[in-house]
Amino acid sequence: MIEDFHRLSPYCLAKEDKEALLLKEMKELTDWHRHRCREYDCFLEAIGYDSQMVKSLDRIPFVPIRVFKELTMKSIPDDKIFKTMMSSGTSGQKQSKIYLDKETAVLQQKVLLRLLGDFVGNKRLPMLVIDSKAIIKDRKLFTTRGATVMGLDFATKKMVFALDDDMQLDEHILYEFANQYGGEKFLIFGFTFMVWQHLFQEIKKRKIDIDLSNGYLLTAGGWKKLTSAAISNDEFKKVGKELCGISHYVDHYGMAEQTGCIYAECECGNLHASIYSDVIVRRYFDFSPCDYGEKGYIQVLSTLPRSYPGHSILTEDEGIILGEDDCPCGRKGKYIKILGRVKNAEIRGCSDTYAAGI
Amino acid sequence: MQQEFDNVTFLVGSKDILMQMEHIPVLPIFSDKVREFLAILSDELLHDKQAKQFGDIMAYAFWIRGAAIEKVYTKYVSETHRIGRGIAFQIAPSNIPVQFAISMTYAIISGNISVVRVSRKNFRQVDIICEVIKRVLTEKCTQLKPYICVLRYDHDESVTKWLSSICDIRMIWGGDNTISMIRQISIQPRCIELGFADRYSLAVINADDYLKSDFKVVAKDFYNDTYYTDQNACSSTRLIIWIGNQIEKAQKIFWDNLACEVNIKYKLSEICGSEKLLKTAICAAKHPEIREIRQNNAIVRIELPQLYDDTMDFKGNCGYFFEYATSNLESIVSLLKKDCQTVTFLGETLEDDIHKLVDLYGVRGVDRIVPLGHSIDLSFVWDGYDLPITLSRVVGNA
Repeated sequence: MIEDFHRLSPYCLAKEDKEALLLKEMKELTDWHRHRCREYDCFLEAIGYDSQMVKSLDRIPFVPIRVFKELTMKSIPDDKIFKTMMSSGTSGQKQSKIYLDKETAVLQQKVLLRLLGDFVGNKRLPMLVIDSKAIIKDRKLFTTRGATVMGLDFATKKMVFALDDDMQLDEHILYEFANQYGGEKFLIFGFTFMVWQHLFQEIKKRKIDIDLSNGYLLTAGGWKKLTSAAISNDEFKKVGKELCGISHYVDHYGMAEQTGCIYAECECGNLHASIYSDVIVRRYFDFSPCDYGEKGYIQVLSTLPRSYPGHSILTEDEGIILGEDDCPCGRKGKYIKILGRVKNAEIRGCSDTYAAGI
Repeated sequence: MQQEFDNVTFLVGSKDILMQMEHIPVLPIFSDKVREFLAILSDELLHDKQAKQFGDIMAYAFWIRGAAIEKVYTKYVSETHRIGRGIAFQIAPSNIPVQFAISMTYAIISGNISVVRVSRKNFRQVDIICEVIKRVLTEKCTQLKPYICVLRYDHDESVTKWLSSICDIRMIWGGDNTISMIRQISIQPRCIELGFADRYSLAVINADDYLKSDFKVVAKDFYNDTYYTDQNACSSTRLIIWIGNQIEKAQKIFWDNLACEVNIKYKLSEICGSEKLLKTAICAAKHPEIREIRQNNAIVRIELPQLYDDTMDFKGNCGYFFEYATSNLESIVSLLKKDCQTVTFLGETLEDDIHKLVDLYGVRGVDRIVPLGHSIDLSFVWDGYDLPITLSRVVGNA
């Protein structure tokens, strides 16, 4: 039962206790979904899943993440769909579709707040969003960016968008926010690359003099583009500190397919799994679990998805588990590092459809 | 029509040579000049330090070596009064580097003037072969210089249009999309066009005959048919049909031996594991009765309880195999459709049996029936065309 998790502090369980609690929940969720989602049941049958054989968390079956692009993965009748989340796929690619009922949506929000609260406190704070209001306008089709921002709406006292519809920084809004809220603790939220480009670079270019030192900068999903621009995490923080005094950084790893269960960055710079979720890193050759420090596919487990079978997903992200239960920040559970996308090598042969499918 | 070539790179040949092509005489098939050229090209490639690093270049060079061509020639000696059709404009595929050279060989051996457009992707193999061709044309076979151009150009439809308007043969190697896009561009009324589209291939193995064979040799052969091209060539086996009595026993030995071969030789791309898992999920959603056997991510097998008409819509690569066991070979007829290219076989009577099926049912597919291990052998008969014949014309008499 998910209530068992709500009763606990989100980073309090050490390995054995966590595994016991999570294993039970994961087995129940696997059964729950296989009786409600035909596609999922067919998949389990095809790979020869036998619930009797599952004695540890690493034996819980996982679906490949792109299955949400290819099939209708849904464990609720159509009239129970509260909203459908779409991944922000680039043009020409298929988008993931995640079907949420009210229960799952509420659960995602609740857990997101609990987890963030552990890093920035539980008090509702004003939040400066480094994005344009336009991304939350179309409520019917949420993109990950819009959904992430909306998910934080609950957690904030007031939300202010710093960019105009053309994605340009509005200085006036920035100054006004700093004057009104800058004296006390507040939040800044944005996708890492957007913060870099539309906040930091603009402050530098326009020589804006502003003090954001009371801000907690929450970032998301930015490592892909930042890595390609060759900007390291440390450099990002250094620049933010120099330009506008930001010294609190909370990056996180998460995905539309498992909204709510984020892996947030602690004071020591590590991304943490909470009691609601877990990470298993798997070898490319045979999916066997990697040792700590060994890179592989990241599999994510989440106790939240009820309306779609996304409680155990094999992502195409590459990462490593740095350790478990022993991060100096005091939080229990695994802490991880994300390295990027799994390499997609050039495949020889006649059919030229392969590359387009990726 | 004044054609611009500013955006065209000539890897072999030049603008002047290209402009003159309409006025160059065609040659007889298997002309002395062309046979000599191929023999020298083969020799140079086989001794080229850089070329030696590429197995596919070596395979091509071996295919066109003097003795091999002379042997093929004997089959066509009786074809008198056969000459080329004119200009053969060829569009090479984007993912088999040496295919442009194979295509060129078909074109010139049939007496044509060859223009190949190669992919924008920069393959080392293409550069190496082109350098050697240029050298041979300049130093030893100058007479053939007007007959060969290899070009590369970006999205410049005007060049494709112009070449299409002057060519007598258009050959397109590529996926269905590429072919249909190029088909939008018109050709001359008497021009012939060959589309070498994406195909699939399968293997038929008699379990009892397999158990009498050398397992290691079969594993090597099967590896060459599949993993050597990432199981993504038209000729790569995607489905194995098992017949005979001791199927289960044969399967176990077969896959165990293949696993040894694969573990030693194959470099599995990291993405393949999740790629194959996705294929299984998609296929299972349509056909819930399938079962996946995952030895490891390099060898993933899908057991089919029956042959579905759309089985090949779910085909994978880099070691993703469908398997079907049957006592009745006739049940495979449903798969011998237009898109089916090669059937490889292992079994004493299978070659005849499969030929009989093709004839009896008048199936639209199956262009080759070859022993297991020979699916990527180069040949002058390809996709059902006897190319020296198809690409030439005969001057008839009474």
